[in-house]
Amino acid sequence: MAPSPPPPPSPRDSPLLYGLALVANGPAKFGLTLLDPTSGAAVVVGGAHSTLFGEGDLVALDGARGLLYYLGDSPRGATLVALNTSDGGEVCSAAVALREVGFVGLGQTLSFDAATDTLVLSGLVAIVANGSAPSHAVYRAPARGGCGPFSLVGSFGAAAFVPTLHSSSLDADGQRLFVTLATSKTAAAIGVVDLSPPRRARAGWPSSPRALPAQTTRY
Amino acid sequence: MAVVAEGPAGANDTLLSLHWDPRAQRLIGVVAATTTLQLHSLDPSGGGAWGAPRALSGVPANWNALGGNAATASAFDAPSRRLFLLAGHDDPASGDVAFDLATIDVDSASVVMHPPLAPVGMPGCNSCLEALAV
Repeated sequence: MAPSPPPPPSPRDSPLLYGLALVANGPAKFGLTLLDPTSGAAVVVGGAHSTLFGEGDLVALDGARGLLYYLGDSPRGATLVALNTSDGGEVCSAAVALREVGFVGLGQTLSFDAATDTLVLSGLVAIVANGSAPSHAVYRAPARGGCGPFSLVGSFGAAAFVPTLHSSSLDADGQRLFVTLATSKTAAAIGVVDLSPPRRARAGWPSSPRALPAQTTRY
Repeated sequence: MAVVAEGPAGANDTLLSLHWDPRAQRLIGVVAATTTLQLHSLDPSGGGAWGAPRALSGVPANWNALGGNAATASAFDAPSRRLFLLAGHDDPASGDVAFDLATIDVDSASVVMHPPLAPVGMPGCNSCLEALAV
């Protein structure tokens, strides 16, 4: 008797993955993508969205509301977009007060904070007063299915240089935001940003990432 | 702003793609080492304590590429302990990249499955997937 085939993976073993894919070029457009990690199947759902996206982690899923947010670039500047995960339609988009420096999303972060039911954005401040040091700003907005409005909740430094490879993660329970930083032209680090009240921010850098590649990395 | 002294540069204290692991209370991520992939981790409390790098088991011999800016296009599902990323083979002769959609068990530091990623996005495109979320 042949052995029984293994049972299909449970949803918990194989959670549904979402993604963003480049679906058109000239001009570039992006589409919500559903992926099956057990088969590698991938399908674009809904239409193409013209807000540009920079390859990386500037996406955040609000699973309860069925929204995938992404932070990109449009003629309005840094732009937050929410897509409906069931049909790929655009729910909202709004410009946000983050400075753009050369590449889409560089130096920016986007997180969904399930502990406070808010969206958290950070990035270089849009305007730096003459003579003042550049800094990062942190904003929050209630996650009510919209794209703001965002309120400034704090700032942190280490913004004179920006790592070309940028990523972040949020500790919702501990209210800490972790971000890659460049502490000089050649040194990179991980910043630990305290998001808890009172609204202060601190950053440390216990890391020293190596060279910062772009796109696909060979090893 | 409080400042924690930077640790020494080196391959073992590197994290390029950040994922917070609430169970372990550590930042984790997959990093390309000289000949394989490693799971790196950092306890960000205090001055920051790096875990010993763990070589991933089950890495196909022909993999030589990570998608999404050194795996920044990745997603961690904390309840299932699964980290998803794009990895595969970059043919230096043709420039063609064939990515798998890899699932990593972060507790055992192993590649548990890696089906080829179906072309998605622009026609025939193997590298048009630019972000993952779970």
